[in-house]
Amino acid sequence: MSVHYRAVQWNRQKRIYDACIVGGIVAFLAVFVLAHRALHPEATTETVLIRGTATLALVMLHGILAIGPLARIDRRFLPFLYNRRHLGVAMFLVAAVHGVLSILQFHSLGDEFPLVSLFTSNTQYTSLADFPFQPLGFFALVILFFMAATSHDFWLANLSPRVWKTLHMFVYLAYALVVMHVMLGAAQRDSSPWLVGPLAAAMLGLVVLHVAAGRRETRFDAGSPSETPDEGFVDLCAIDDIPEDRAVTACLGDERIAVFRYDGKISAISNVCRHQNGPLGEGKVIDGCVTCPWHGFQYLPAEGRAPEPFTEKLETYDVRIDGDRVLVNPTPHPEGTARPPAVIRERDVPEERS
Amino acid sequence: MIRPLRRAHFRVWCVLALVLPVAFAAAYRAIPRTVTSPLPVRAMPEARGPVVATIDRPAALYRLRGSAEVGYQLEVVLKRPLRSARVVVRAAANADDGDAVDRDAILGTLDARGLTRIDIGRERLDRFVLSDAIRGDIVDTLDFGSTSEEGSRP
Ligand code: HEM
Ligand code: FES
Repeated sequence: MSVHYRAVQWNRQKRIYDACIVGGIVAFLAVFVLAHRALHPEATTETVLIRGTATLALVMLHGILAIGPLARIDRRFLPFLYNRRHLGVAMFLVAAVHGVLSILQFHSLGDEFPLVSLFTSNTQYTSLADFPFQPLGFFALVILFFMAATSHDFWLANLSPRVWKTLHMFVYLAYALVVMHVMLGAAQRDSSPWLVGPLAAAMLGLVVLHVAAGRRETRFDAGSPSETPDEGFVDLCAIDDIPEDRAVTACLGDERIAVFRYDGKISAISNVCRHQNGPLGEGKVIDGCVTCPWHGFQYLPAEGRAPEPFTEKLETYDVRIDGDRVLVNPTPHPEGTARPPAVIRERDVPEERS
Repeated sequence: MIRPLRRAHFRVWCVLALVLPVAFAAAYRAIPRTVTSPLPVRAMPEARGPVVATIDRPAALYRLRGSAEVGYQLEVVLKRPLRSARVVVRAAANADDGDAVDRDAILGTLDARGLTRIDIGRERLDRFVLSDAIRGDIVDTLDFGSTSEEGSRP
């Protein structure tokens, strides 16, 4: 393992996750093919595969896009987030089978080169009902290709998490293109309510989920404590508000700070994991290390850095205890600056009430 | 996630929340609806008696119905719309020919999709030719006399 980037390693959990992905794909396609054969016995094998892979890719894309906001709203979805990239690559491969089969079936028998034919066989850009929907699918597939190709931790480390995350927002454009690919393509020819109805419901569900999660997050950032600073310190919460080995998170200044309580001590670090910017404040202290809930990167809370031999570093913050209150100074120390934790004395913690 | 990215995600979804439903609705409204205004309906005879022979093809189901008492009928159920503008149905000459039926007469034409029934009279005919009246080529030949899957397709 290089110390320049730390790839998330293969482990049992990942193998189970990937086996579930492969099993799910095979099961979906098998059920689809059988149902299609029963309902449309006249359809050719190519057509069944084109439709099956298309529908599966669409379902997977919705799942992938829903995992993020669902995990923000309910921690039980975190395990799905753990390996979302594998799901993304699998979805790209399924969509690519659909795209390649479509090009072979609809564009490889003419005089034109198939990729040229894809763009020139229909140029009715002013019509909605006859809009050239296939280029929309093509552009979506190109975006999904770049997402899949750069999904490895190597690219994450080389592009920096911020650039990488920004690039990966193009998946939303791909999603919009896919929705219109279906609505201007298959939906115009096949008026079956089984295509348009579920797609409308899934699209609205996804939009509501993202807007709701986004609003919650922006409100949290705006509503975090900003009481009159005491020598630069902000009153964050009571000691007992922080469960043992867990954190309270607040947006003080420009970024979120995670304040952890562990071993009778309190330390504050940046909430932003150096791997993929996961929310460290939602993680746990395991073996003395703050452990990221997304993929398990670890940091020593008082040191602001990963344990040897890893090199990731975080900003640290000064913490003070005043009575039973925890005060935090929102001015960050440079990444990896060790700061002594605030020690909780017996009398700081109010008597347990039964 | 860092705060600027959280904000960017939120903004992108706010834009999508406005744009996607509008584009979706526009595309939905453009879906061609089946015409509901009254169309001239072709008079079609009632099904005449039981099915006596069937030929099942990927594109169509052909049935021979009836009996000598009530008369015979060719019933065609198109599974896929026809590719030819006008398909005519003729009786093909039987091998043991020799009676008075005009084998070349057009028995009927097929509608582009759906079900068509063509009365063929009290004498049972087993062999039919379906041809494209404009291009002149043969679309299908049927032979109910042999096993139902026989008969060649060009
Ligand atoms: C090179 C890229 C692509 C091409 C050439 C292409 C082509 C096509 C064609 C010709 C159809 C109509 C099939 C039919 O009506 O039977 C179709 C339908 C569809 N496509 Fe694509 N596509 C591409 C990419 C994508 C991508 C990336 C996705 C989604 C991730 C996608 C999702 C769908 C869906 C859901 C349908 C409707 C399937 C149905 O129920 O009939 N396509 N595509
Ligand atoms: S371990 Fe991946 S984001 Fe923290």
